[in-house]
Amino acid sequence: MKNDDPNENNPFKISPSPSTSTPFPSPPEFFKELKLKTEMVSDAEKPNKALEAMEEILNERQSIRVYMDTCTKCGACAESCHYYLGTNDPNNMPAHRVDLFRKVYKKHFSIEGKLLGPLVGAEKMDSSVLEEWYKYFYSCSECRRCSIFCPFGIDTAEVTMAAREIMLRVGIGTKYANEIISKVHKIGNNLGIPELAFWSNLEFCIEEIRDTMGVSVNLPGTKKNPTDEIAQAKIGAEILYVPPSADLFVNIDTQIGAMLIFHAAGADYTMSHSASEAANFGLFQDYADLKAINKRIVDEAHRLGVKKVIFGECGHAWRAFKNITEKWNGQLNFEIEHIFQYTERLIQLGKISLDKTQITQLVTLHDPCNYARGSGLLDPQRYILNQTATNFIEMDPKKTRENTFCCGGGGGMLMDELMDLRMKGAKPRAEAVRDVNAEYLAAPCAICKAQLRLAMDHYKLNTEVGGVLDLVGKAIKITKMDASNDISSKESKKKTKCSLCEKEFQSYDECANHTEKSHEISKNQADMCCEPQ
Amino acid sequence: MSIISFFITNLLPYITIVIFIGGLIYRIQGWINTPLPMPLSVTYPKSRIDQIIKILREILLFPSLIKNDRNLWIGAWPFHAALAIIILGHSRLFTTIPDKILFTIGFTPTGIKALSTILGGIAGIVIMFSLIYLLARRFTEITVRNMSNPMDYLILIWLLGIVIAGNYMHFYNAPYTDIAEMRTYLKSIFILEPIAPPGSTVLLIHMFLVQILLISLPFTKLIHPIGIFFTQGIKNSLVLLRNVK
Repeated sequence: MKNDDPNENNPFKISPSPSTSTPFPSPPEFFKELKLKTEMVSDAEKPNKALEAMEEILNERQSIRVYMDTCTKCGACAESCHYYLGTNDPNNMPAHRVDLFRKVYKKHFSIEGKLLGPLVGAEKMDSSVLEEWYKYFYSCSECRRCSIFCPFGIDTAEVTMAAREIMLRVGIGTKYANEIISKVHKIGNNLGIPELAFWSNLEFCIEEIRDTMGVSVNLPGTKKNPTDEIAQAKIGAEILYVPPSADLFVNIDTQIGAMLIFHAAGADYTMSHSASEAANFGLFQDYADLKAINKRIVDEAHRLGVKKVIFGECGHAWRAFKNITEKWNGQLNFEIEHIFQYTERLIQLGKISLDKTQITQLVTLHDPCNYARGSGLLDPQRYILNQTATNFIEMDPKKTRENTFCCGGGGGMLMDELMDLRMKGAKPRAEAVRDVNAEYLAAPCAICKAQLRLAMDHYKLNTEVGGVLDLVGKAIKITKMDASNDISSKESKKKTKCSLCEKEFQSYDECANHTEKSHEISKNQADMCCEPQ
Repeated sequence: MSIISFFITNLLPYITIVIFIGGLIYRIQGWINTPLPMPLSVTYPKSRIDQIIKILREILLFPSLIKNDRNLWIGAWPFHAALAIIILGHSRLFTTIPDKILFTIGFTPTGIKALSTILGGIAGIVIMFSLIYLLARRFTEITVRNMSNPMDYLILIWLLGIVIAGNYMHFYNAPYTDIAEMRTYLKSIFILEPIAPPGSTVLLIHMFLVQILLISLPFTKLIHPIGIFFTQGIKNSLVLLRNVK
């Protein structure tokens, strides 16, 4: 492996150092779309307005008050945080991070702090405190690993959410998260995929499946006229499938995997542009948007009259919807299930069958924080992987399941400007992957996928990053064949030219093999350069 | 009775009781009156029994610390275990119920005295060394030092003061041995006819330090044994227990 080469400097050996990166602040126009009530105030007014917001939050959230009063600074959490391990910055120790909030709480809201002041670490709220907050509450991915280490179960992530909400109320926020939330409210998904592109991307997936597997799957929607470009969600379908929108754009293989599962099971499912985004960035920063973003999906599911809503591979989406919707968005007339639970059951019932020999890579599994610590989704994906891959290996038990390390990009931290911090924070996860020498890292979360692909490059690991469903899609045995398959399989026997080196091949498959070997382009993406003649 | 002795033994107890109980009510009421819109921090229990066992284990043995920070457990668990024994021992000063229980299971008065001398002695030594250990850890372990403020050290030093005074009385000086005299004094406090306690400067120091600690308890991090019932660790698990199928 590359990192064993002594001549090459080993990125794992670079000693931790504080990160100087901070997020780009959000311009005022991105606040307009937020459901949270925000007030644009001058810099001089911000500390006082922030105190008012803080008082409201303290009166609304018992948990924050309890966390403020209960921490004993025992230090058990110190080395649980991936950002602390990667940066050695004392402010990144969870108890210390919460202390940035607690010192203001003590000064302004506690008897102890009012009487004893600096003796108990109380500090006045001012603009320098807000600056510190901005840096360090945006150096937390809300992964909650520290809450497992804390003997009292103090959840730093909740304090981070509260601090971010306080800052947002006075007009301090990140461009990244505010832009994404605006897009969800305006267009319907994080990536801003319009309706036409949504349906044509799904049709692209169908073509992909036809080209690579010779299987014809149905569009999860209906068209009034076959010539229409835009389809509609099927009213009265049994299942509504809600993936993260990244699956329709960058993680196409995950979407294909899901479509093949539904196809093989013969499920009556639909997808909808109005519910084209599972992710909920409101969870990361404010309750008002959290609630509103969940409501979209509830409303759409009720409009379509589906019996079940199935969520795709997105960690926080599952947590935000499963734990919160019913209490906040009222009575639900449908069941909620995760695609892993659904797939697990299909395998157990024998409704889909898998060919393990298709996946011979050494596969390991990354537990996204919000599955592991937010919603207890741990075993179905393991069952699926054991049924799908010949070589499935677990990472160090201290770094998986409830103890899983964050990818380093969750919690609204997946900003390009934070790359330095993100890569430093990804170190513990990369080390665990290196230790098992995995060839394929299954990371069933859109954010984890985006972050870990970069992290594997950064730490010079030859590990492919993808989803669990990607593998299922490759191993699944499809028996039903219809007429259209024959055409496509004939098509795949056409002469094909590689556009990168102008070589000609007898079939598409040969060309795909060639691109994989010569250009390091995986077979699934071979269509980028293999052009049938 | 000197004025200092009068203050510490006959006046301060009333102030302590009022502030301690009032403070606890204030703090807990403050938590209860604040709504919890959503228990965001949930861990999903597997089953009811599972969860109850987990909670009991967590309270009795601190297993999460054994797993995650053994260095801390080495100090923290013996400290809390010894503290529990010491509190039980001191309860004999306020009530005769523990003695009666011990009588019924076959202890003689000499037996009880020997038990309290030996068990109390061990607990006193253990708690002293665990406090010294925790204090040393706070000074030397860089991560913990970084997150400490003066109060964190002060509380440990304060506890150490109480323990040293207590141990001195237990091993060298003896108002302790005459438990009856202490009982009479404490009873006099509760019937609002305070009398002088058994005379000893060390006892005065011990009582003073303990009362200040009790006064500060509701307002400082010493509230943590109650706070734990309101955090994710236990409270949300209990809420979720109702939903376990």
